[in-house]
Amino acid sequence: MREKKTVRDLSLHTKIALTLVTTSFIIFTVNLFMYISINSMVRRLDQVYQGNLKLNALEQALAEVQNSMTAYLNTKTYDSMEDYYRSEQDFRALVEELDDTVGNDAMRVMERNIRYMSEHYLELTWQTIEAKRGRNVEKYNARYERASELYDYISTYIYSLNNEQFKTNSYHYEALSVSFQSLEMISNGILVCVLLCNVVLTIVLTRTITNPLKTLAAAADEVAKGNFGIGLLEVHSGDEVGVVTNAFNKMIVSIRAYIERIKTSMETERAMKEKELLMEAHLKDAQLKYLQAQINPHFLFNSLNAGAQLAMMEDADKTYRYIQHMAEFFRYNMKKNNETVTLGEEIELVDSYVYILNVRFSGEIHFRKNIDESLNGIPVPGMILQPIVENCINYGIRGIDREGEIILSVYGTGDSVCISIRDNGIGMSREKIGKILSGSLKGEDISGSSNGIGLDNVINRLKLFTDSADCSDVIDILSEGENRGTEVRIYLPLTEKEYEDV
Amino acid sequence: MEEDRKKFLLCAGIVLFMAIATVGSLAFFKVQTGRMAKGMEREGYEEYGNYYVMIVKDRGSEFWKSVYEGARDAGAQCDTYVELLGNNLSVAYTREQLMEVAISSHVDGIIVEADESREMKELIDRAAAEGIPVVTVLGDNTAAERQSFVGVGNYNLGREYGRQVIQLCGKNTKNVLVLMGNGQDTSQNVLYSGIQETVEKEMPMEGKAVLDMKTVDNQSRFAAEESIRDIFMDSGKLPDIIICLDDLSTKCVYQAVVDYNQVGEVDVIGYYDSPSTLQAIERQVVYSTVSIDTAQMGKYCVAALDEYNELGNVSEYFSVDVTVINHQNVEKYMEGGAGDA
Repeated sequence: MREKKTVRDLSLHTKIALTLVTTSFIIFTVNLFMYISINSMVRRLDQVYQGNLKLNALEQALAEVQNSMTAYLNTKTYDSMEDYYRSEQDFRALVEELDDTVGNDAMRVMERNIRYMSEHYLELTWQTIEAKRGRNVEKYNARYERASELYDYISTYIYSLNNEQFKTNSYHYEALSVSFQSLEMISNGILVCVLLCNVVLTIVLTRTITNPLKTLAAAADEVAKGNFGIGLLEVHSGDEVGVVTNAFNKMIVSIRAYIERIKTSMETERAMKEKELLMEAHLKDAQLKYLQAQINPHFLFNSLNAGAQLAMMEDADKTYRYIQHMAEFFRYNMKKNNETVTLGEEIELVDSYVYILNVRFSGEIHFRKNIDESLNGIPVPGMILQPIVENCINYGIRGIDREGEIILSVYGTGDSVCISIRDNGIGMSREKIGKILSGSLKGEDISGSSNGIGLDNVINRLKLFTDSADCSDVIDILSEGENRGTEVRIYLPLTEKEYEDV
Repeated sequence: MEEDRKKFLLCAGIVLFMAIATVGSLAFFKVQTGRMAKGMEREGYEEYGNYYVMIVKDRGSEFWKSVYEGARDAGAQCDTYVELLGNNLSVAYTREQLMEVAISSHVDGIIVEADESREMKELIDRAAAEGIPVVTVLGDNTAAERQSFVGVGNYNLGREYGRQVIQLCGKNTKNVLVLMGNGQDTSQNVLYSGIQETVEKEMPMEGKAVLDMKTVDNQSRFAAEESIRDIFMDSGKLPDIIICLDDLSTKCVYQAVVDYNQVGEVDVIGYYDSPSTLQAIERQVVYSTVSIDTAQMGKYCVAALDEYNELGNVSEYFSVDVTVINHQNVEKYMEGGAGDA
């Protein structure tokens, strides 16, 4: 395909030149044909009266012979003799051209008779002149008489033949001129036809050349209006238009790709900003709820510290420890609420919380930990574990007959860390788990007696923290059924560095 | 691709159409003019080996035209072109002048309607001296060295006329006028005597025919018609039967009889079966006519010349068939056209 260079691959210049040359050549050829036929026709017309012209010449030559002979007989000069010889020769030459065959055509027979009579006549004139030379008066007079008679006959014959020929020739001429007219009509017809055909041909050919240009121009116009969505143009030819079309196609493709790239980067930027905003909003929400729920933690913390010092001075160790835990709990809230903390700090908070509750509820909660210490340093969002533990206590083990137990486990699973909080409480139905995970469980169900931060808040922050759209990637709630406890698992991906540290 | 192909086919079609239109119409034109030119040049042209000329007094008459046609057709069958000399010439030459032309033209044979004049004899002799055979037709020059004579047995023809006269006379006495051509034509004299003898010998006892003859000048122009009118002007001496001995006088008498209201009064016996004469017989204006087999006459002329050219001698006399046409059998001759069947 590539090797075969077709007409389509010729340059514009060649194409246009070819079109013009082709049409001109056709017109030229047709004209040439016409010219040749008209020419041959004219030649034929010329020949119509050729016979008459010949006869006229013959008649003239005959008259010259007769005159020169008469002149010689009159004067006997050398001049007249010479004249006679010359005219005799001329006449003989013309006579010899005459047809001497016999056929069923009266005019041909006349021609033959003229020839024979003329030969006889020439013989007679010669004999007359001979007799004149010999001064045989009687003889040359008699011969002159006969020659003149014969001259008359020949003249009459030539005249009559001329007449007859003229009649038929005129008839032929008329017929020829009629056909000449028809030739004129035919050639006019052909010329008009060829002209029309050439117009069509030129239109077709030039359209072939200009159509891709038109398409290209329309496409360029579209692009100029800002519409980059137009399809790629088809390239039909290998000429300049084809080259430009190809370049145009490439340009459209690269512009489109460029626009796409810009769009994607803008999209990413926007998503990131959104995420940041969301994160902030959730934190603000958490803080607000916390503030609503708590009285001024600074005041509380300072008061508790003072209480702890008082207990220490009174040697009341248990009270001191209790108040100390309380202070820790509030300080954590105060400090770490709005930033990323380590997993260890979160676990400490849970310890304090459980201690406080155990003091409140006289050691009802058995809290056990099963922790891979090496993972204590990984970053986690603040206030994640405490709300979950609070939920376990409030909805899991509160009000059960047996001893409540909460087990916190932290272990690595390859590229992520799993934090599991498990209780042996009343458990959860599958529907409820689904509702919690989809965030559609609102109101009292979960926030009734919590200290303000709901599970959905925790889930949302985890999602933002891990950049995952699906909550099943970060949190999982398992329950084996009624009174068989609940387990909440949090999965946190390890960054490469953390992974190496671990 | 498909569109390209269509375009290419369209262009090719247009070019092809133009080429076909041009070449086709020009070829058509060429063929047409070529056919016309061919027709102009040689329409049925045939070349012949021999060339005979026929020289007669009255080239325009139906009779001679018919004889010429017979000769021409006979000639065409044996490679000979026969020309009725003087036909295409602008000058009306006499027979003698035409004889000169024929001799000067070195023709292969001359068929001439001769008479017994001296001049004719000289010309015939000169032709013979030049090696051109001469055949005399209808009119003879017995003294000249002509090779043969083709004619009607004038005595027999006279007898035929005599029988017609006897039929017309019946038991009555009738005046008969014979219109003779002038000049030195002895054949008419022979004919006249033929009539005379027949009338005398074969006439029944009761009937009688009084024969008379009148010379009609057929040499000078328009004279024949005038002299025939003269006969009718003198109504007191109008004959009962008029016998014409040539085609022209037959026509003139026929017209005169009609013009002078003498139909039924004057019986006309004509000569030669030209269409007008046949028509006259059918209308019973002309009683009868003698038909000479003109085609046979022409044929005999050519045959005589051929025979002489071939063998060096030929029989001196050829007699042509004669038939009488009257009201009873005219139908047959009219159907056959000029009646030379």
